Amino acid sequence: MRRILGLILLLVSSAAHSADLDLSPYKGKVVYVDLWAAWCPPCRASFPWMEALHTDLRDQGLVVLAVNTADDPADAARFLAKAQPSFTIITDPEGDIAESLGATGMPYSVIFDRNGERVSSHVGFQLKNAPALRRSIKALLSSTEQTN
Amino acid sequence: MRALISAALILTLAGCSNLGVKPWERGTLAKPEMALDSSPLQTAFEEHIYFSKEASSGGRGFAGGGCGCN
Repeated sequence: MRRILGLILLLVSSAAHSADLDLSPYKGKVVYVDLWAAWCPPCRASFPWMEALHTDLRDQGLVVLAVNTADDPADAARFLAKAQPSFTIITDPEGDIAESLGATGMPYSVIFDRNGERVSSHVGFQLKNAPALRRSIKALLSSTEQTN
Repeated sequence: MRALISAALILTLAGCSNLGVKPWERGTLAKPEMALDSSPLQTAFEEHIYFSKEASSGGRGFAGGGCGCN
């Protein structure tokens, strides 16, 4: 009976396994992680804003990390060819990162501080809320000094 | 044997644990051809009639279009 229960636990844990986002290359930086997909209009609308964020604040220690989540690779490539973002794009074909971050909608963004601690998360993207989000990122950048 | 049957029953409990579509899995649902109304013009026409008869409108769908952002 104990062996069977062990087998059940193993099956459940392997099904629930999800890859975590590796933030180790960005140690000492504030990281803005954005989960996006080409089929999602607000995700596409957020790209110019993220580009400006990246251009203006990267010298202060901000990293913008756009995670293409469970998207059609051809659609994503077509959109990226048009948008030409200069920030980092990574792919999450199975949605493991989205699962581990607990995304409740698309786009979904999470801000990590310089210590890699999750500070806040946001669902959706609306231009009217973007300035406040940018202010909070700037405040986080200035509240802690860049170490490397 | 009883343990095996119990294990099989317990495993079937997990069958309904993953219902629904995750927000990042809505790519196909977001396509225009997946909309519940096959003809937007016809729907608009019916909405107009409904409004003039009932003095109220809406209630046919919800905002968001499948992207889960609203």
